Amino acid sequence: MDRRTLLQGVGAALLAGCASGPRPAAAPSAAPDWALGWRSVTTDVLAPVEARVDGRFPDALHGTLYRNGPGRLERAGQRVRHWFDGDGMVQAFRVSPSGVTHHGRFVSTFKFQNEERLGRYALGTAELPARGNDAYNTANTSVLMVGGELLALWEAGSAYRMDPETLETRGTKDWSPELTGVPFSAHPLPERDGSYWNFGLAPYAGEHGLMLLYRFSADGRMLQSAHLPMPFSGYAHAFAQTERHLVVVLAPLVWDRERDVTWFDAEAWQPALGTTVLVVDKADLTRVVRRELPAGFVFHFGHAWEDGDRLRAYACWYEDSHFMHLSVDQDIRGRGKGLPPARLAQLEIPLGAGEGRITRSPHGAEFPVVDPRVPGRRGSAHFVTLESEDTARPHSGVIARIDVERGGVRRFDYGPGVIAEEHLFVPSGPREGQGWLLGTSLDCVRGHTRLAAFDAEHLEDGPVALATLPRALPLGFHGTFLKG
Amino acid sequence: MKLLLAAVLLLAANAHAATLTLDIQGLSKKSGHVLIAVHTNAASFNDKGKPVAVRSVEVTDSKLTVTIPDLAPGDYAVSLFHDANDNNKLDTNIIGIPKEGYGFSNNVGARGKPRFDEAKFTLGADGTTLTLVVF
Ligand SMILES: [Fe+2]
Repeated sequence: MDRRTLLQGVGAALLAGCASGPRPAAAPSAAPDWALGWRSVTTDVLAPVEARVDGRFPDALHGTLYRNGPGRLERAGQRVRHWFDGDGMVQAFRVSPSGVTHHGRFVSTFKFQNEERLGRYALGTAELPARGNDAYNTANTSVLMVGGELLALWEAGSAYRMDPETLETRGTKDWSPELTGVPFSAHPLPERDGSYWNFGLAPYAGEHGLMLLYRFSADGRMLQSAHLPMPFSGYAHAFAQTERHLVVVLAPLVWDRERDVTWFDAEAWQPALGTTVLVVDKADLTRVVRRELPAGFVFHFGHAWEDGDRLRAYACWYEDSHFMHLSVDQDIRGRGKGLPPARLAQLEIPLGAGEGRITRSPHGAEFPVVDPRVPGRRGSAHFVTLESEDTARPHSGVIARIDVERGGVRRFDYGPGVIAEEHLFVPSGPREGQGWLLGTSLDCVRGHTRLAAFDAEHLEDGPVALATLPRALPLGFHGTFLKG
Repeated sequence: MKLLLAAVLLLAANAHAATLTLDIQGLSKKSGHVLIAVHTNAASFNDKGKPVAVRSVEVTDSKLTVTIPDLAPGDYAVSLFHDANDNNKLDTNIIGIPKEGYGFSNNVGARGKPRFDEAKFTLGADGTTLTLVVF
């Protein structure tokens, strides 16, 4: 990217009232090295570096964006089986009036510590015996500030506590003796009183698995928990909430300990079972209603709300579980292998009798983010990474705001050779979806990661500010923004 | 007469006796006791019968060796756990995942309790030494 062009672009955009923001320069000539997104970081720490900043980050975004993702995917010539198995590395992007810095650090899990020491994958062998879920914990999925600590979240075991300044690992988050080492999803949901809901699935416990439900305070105390039998040992990665209900959509991806089949095995997919929705009463976590949907698979949800005798929820809906069964090589090759992306869809779930329904939008979308000021209520704006229709591009560099109520789509294309990651919404005004969008992207041609800020109501104008790191980070999953 | 009887019993015991030696490794805390049970059948292995032998050995190092003499040669399975806080039970979390070390013969059970058959081994007439790694 040409710095002058960019700076001029920013100036012009500001002067012209954001008619056109800074855009990456003309199409790059070199072929993108997509493998950059899955390249291991081989040091424990990525020391702080200054980013080159074009434009100006608004005051509302002065603070830290933390992101988590698999930072190490191979050791001693061996590669992890699935992208989700990489060791978690937390990246911190600090935005201040004097600039943008980045530093990163691996979560020092039991697994990471010991395999670093041994120099190879050894978990579960006599050399590195593994007990309980946390032995396998990579803490690689998301981050959340709780009680002054940054939690590195996984889903099949504990969250790890980190120092939000130094990113040093302090240990696991042990909520209580009984709730030590239990499955705890990476997608807690905020309740309006400031507390959080979460869930966890233990498909190997009980008869057909146990579902755990949690409510914890923002200062890090467990307020309430419950465990319930699962109807079958299916899979869910995140969940949704309405005002009165928690909604867990259980895909027919069935863990079978007897046959040694886990959720990562292709034979776990049993579409004949259909997808099951567990609707939990927030006022009494033991009251669960079971509803049926056609077979499908969901990682992430958008808005969800009560609509009379039914619930409605937006989700990024896959027709099957193929994403769980891809190798890292397949991830790198990306699309063009006949695997359709998730589509933003509305799930309709009757509270009374009857089957649920799926209404698919035409938009291929992932990493949905909504305005947090309308939890559990009907909302319109979904900020997503959008699969472009251009099938010649194996990875998408497009982000979009999809207004499901009003039908509008506003998008920004980072250009070919770039992979867009999750973009977070930071409110600034009273309207739903009024604020800033802050997110990262990986330029696989020039070999660097960028942090960009957009006016969330005018994505098509391009970023109002763009920070370019002198390094390329492996792709991550989810983040959180902390003001100040 | 009494002495003779004792001698006969001793002879009988010697005729059948084999010694099981357990080299137990990977104890993560130097506290409490390792509680060991030797089973001859699945019922015993699944806590529904009486083990043929039990031992409680104090833990002062990350490994220890236990000898269990006077066992008839044949098929057995060993289960053990490290009661690091000496409360006489294997502490678990709410979904039943152990929070203290445990192990089985053949070093099976990394992802949950194995069946008796999986942990079964044959104790030879000359004795057998097993290396058990504590999960
Ligand atoms: Fe996720």
